Amino acid sequence: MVFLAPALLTLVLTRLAPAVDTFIASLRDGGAWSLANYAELGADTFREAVVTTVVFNVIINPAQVLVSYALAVVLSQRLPAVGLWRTLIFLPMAVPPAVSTVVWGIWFRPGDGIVNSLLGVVGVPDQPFLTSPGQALYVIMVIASWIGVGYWMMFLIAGIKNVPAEMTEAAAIDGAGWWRRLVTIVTPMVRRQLSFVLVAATVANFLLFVPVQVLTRGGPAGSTNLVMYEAYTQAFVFNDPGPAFAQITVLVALVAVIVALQFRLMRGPAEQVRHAS
Amino acid sequence: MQGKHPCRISFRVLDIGDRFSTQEGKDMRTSILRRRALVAAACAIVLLAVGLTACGGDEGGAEVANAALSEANAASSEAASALSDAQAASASAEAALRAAEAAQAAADLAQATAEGNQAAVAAAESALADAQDAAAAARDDAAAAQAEADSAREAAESAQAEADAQAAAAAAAAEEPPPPPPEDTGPVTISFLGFYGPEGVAPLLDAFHAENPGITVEYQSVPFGELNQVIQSRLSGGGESPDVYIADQPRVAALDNQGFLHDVTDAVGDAANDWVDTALTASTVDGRLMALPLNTSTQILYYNKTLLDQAGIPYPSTSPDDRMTWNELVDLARQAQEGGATYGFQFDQVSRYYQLQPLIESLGGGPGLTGPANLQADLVNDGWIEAMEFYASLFADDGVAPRGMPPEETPNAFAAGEVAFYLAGTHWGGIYELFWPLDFDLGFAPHPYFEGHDPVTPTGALSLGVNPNSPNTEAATTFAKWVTTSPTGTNIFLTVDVAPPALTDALPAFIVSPPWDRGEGGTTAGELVEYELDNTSVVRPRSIGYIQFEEIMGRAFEDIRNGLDVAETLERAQSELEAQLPSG
Repeated sequence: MVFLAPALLTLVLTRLAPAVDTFIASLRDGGAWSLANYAELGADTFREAVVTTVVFNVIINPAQVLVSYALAVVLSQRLPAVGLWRTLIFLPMAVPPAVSTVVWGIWFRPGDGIVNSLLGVVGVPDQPFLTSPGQALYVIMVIASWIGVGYWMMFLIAGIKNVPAEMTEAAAIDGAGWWRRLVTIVTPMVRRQLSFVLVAATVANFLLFVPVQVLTRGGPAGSTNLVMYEAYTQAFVFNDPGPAFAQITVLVALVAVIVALQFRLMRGPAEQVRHAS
Repeated sequence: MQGKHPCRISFRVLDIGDRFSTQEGKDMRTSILRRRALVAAACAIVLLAVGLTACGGDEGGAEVANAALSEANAASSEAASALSDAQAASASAEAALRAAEAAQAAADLAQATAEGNQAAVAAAESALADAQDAAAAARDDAAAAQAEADSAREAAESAQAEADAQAAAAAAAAEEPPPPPPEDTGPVTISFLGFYGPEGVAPLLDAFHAENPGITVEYQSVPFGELNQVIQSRLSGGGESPDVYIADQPRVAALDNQGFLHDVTDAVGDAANDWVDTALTASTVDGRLMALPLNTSTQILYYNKTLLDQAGIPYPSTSPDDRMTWNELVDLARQAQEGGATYGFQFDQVSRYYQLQPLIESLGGGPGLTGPANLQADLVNDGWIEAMEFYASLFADDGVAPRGMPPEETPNAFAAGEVAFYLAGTHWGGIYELFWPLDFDLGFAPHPYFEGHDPVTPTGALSLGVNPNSPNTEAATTFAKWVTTSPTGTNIFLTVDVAPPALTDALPAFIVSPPWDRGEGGTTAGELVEYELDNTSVVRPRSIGYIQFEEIMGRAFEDIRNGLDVAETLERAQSELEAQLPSG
């Protein structure tokens, strides 16, 4: 109990208190208790922001997990200069997101951006990228994943390294090929790391803010207006924090439900293991 | 994975484990169980902590809690040593993440422990892995809490400021009640918030300190793009600092509506008549002077003489009588582009209302806000649509200006020789002349107009606002008045911000200073500036909803620049404004 006190105190002061405070503030309107802030959530912009946020996450989270796992599988092999490759892929994590976002913005500029120049070399016509409502959200996904994937990869490499060599060797002796061992032995054994990465990526991506604020300000035509940015605009640009508190409360509730579902799904097979024993 | 159910994969793992290494299978099983034990223990302890806190002195509650605690301790005796390794890093995050599972985990506790006792060998490894996971989870959890923390911090800060103000007021009331001390009772320090570099402002402060030994001004600088957000967060809730700040003139009404501006009508008195009308009007709300105008502005069509030479274009005249139409300008811009310019044309404040209001007003579209208090949106009319179609055409595939270049980058693009014609604020002429020498000659021409319509130019710039919650409003007003009305203050301020001064008396000296003493066709750029300020300028609408209006219009303009349908975009902005504008 005594040993836990500092951790508990920090938990209460830095996590629970602000959360409760936000929730309470969302129920206040002009000094009285009211649901007025929640009534404003019916506005088109907020509903569209929720849809955008959900679409964004439905695509980016599986994509990040898959890409980081693929990288982890490759970079946990015995390869020349494997440490160097891992460092390079992890490095974006060490760059302030605002800086890398600005650089990406210049790269993705239509007309004279590097990405369009590279596409031009292979014969693809100029793309509008961040200036198109159809492409901007995907460009944001690319930028966010460039930052995130290296980080998630490190957890998965650790997980793969933890798989006992006897198991894979035994399977190999039994005639299982590389792919077979990956699918049947390694992947189930790194389940826990994979689930952690999925949950952590989900939370991070639901709360994504910097690329939107720096590059698109929610545009074009609201196509990148994620809930975090919508709440920021409401609170700090329009100076109307009440509805922003309500929006954040809804966002946190949404994330909590999704994370709870993910835990539930992840736990299923583990139960099976125990019953099978 | 060939469409298999994940459960089957898990069964297979177990099969392999049993077949080739019974110990592995056992270890895996026990490690899962052990993890459940850890989680359960952590949760039980956290729940108990909460319970103890909640129960307070309640003996029955404490008894139950103690009994449960000892049970939990006994139950997790094997796990405890591993837990103590991990707990510092993991307990809080683990608990937070698993709180939802608490009830079930508690129910599993006894069974998990009974089996957990077999797991002595794998304990170290498993605990280490748990600690790693949990540490990472903690980090992530921190990110999740960030948003709430941010907004909560704002609230906390303003609450704190309010409490401080109340405490100060109470303390003041408790002491013997002398009348508010006059300014020469002792030295006071006031803070001044702006976006200019501190080294540029230093001479201004030095001169002020020399003339006003009783007042010390401390300057604080934030980037221009963040100024408004900083003012919002620092003044809301009655913040006492900054004492003086730069207020964007069209925002004066909204700032006043929030109670962020001290009434300076009486302090300024007749000196107000010395300011140019547009600046004075823009700083006045309901007949009261709420801010002190610093400067004013207009726009000039700058051109790069080297790029025009390359394309064989004669230099356009500086005289307002030879003003180009927009179509003439687009033709010249295209010619310059064919002659080697990267871009024929660019706006300074691309996709901002200040920049585009003249185009719309010139075509009869109106400012976009109507009604007695300028609180009704009026965007979907012929003038707006025609102006916006033209704006979009400049950036279309066969256009003369680039998409995707934000306003912050346009002065660099012009200075780098990428842009032939640059429609930009007067301050850029001064900045290029004084601080940022160009490697080409700068030409000046009047703001273009639409054929058959009156020429219209933008205007309006900055004022100084005094914080009404400042304990030193008098000293703050003295400083603001000195900067905006005294000969010394206004002269030195011209080196801080090179925009035309709001003080009528200071304008003649400004328009003959370089680079404004140059021009083509017998007219100097200074004479052009004076002509535009007197004859063609329109102020932005004064409205307490201007902040929302400017933000929503900025997004709509950017969408139109990117090629979205004009009418649809304006209709969308119209309905957004109807939802966001305060009701008048």
